[in-house]
Amino acid sequence: MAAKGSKYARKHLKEISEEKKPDTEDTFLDVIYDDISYLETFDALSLDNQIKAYKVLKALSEMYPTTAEERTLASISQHKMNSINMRAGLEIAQNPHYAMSADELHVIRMDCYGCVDARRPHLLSPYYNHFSKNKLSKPLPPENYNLETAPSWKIFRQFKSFRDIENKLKEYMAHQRLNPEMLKIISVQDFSDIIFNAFKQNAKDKKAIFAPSKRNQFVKDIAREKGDELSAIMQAQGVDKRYINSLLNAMKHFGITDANRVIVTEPYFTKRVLTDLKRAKIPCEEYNIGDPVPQALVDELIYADKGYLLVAREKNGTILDKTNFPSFEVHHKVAVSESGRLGHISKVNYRRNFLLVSSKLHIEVLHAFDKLSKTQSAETYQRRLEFTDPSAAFMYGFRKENQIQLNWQDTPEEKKIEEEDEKYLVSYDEVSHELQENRTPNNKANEQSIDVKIVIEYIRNKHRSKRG
Amino acid sequence: MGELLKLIRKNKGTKTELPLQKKDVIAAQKELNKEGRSSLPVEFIRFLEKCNGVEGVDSVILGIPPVQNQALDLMAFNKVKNTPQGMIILGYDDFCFLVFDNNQEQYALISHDLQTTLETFEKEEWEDALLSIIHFDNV
Repeated sequence: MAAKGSKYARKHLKEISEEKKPDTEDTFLDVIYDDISYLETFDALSLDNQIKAYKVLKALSEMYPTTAEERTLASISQHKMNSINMRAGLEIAQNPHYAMSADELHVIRMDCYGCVDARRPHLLSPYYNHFSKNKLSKPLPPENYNLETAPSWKIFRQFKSFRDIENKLKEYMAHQRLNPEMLKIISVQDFSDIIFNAFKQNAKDKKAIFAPSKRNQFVKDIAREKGDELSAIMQAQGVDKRYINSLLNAMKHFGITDANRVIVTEPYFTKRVLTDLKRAKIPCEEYNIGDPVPQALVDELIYADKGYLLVAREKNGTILDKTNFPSFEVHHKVAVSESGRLGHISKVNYRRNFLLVSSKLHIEVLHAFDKLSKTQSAETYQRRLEFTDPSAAFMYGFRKENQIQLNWQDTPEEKKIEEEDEKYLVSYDEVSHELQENRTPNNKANEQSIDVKIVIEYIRNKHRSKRG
Repeated sequence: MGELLKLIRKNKGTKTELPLQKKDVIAAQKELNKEGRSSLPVEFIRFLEKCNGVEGVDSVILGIPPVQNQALDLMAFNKVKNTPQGMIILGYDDFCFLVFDNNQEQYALISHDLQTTLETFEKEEWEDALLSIIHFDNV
């Protein structure tokens, strides 16, 4: 029997595959065996098979070769993978890595989704706990809460979404009769707790939405600006037109990109749709079977949570099966942990640094190379698959014609936000230092000199609760 | 558990897999032990027994194979990511992984480069841990 990966094994397997006329599930192997026209072979595959071929090429190129033949196989596989990447406008980048603080990552994540989870008590500082228990006897006006005195808030302030909620937070703190002195010494997690409590809808909520999701806004923008191109790319791949229209509508209105969440609606009135509308007492007398469903009616019903009345069906009356319809996800083109290299951490969540990518390609391909490596000089590098064209905005395949570029960097809107954000640029080290200074007893800036007292109280409480 | 499942089901479109079979749990634990990875925490298995994997917005909670959506296959994902020994990835979004660390006996949200821990969760806080990785529609 031939050794795995040997020239004989490859030839033998090729013969078998030729004899058998491989079924569609195995056709990806042709890319491995064909050393000449492998790009054409790759192009002819379905996206699922392209991903399979890509993963095999990657594994072969990374294997530890023990023979000359395996070395050749690894080298050819590497070459093929690089060619596929290059044609797709991708390259494996190796950037110096600087670990980011947990606080900064936490704030970037909040900014991206416009949402914060309930903070658990052990995440909060003893200083904040102290002030939460010892409230002022009378409320102060919101203006007394000067966020400029808060070192930790400077991390948040770098993002427009947090600057926009400053007034609401001041009102909340005033209403809660919190002592403004705490602003000098509370942590990023403490501020997250304030945001959560100021924005939660119900007492039992586990998540609170404080701003529109940047991720969703990006999806809405790309659907509005490039809807026709998105539609053409999906149509060329044979995606059901009814799904494409409904997906684009869901993207434009809600930022939804997942097939599970899209209600696929009929583009034309059917007998079933008209009957369902009549039963639901939705006026539809003016429409006949075969008339196009007006977009305004689709939007109205979807907003009213009645999109099911227009739901698309197969000829036999069953609801259209969405299993094989494509879903998309939002990818950060620059690794979040590499935000520092953009000059300002808020930029990592700018729409120009997002990419809408087929869910199949996202983790399996775009995140497949993520790896940290240390050099002999102990410097750390981060390996990652990156786009050579910074304006890449959409990816539904390895070929350029399945991608869309969008230059948002030069738009007045983007420039304005950038200029504004830059005014609030701060280094994490500076913030930590300032916070530390403020927390130090006998510091003149901290007239109350509360540090020791609070910490002792916190430790005592902790011991008591452990014993209890 | 009830609250977590309620929240997941309340968010329309958040797709869940079918409940897990016991024989699949045993097979998975055996394989994980063989590979030197962390075994799956009991409370997480109990959750998977109700829904074996969750798809949120750009985020997932992984499940034990067989799963309908291959992207939710916990075993395959940890193999591909070559998860460090003593640890297991239970879910991910575009920022971080939710892992269970056997040595520390706790859950953690860790950046994709495995360098920065954003948050840790004690075993009894497992529901909060799972909620921290899954995103719902914010529309």
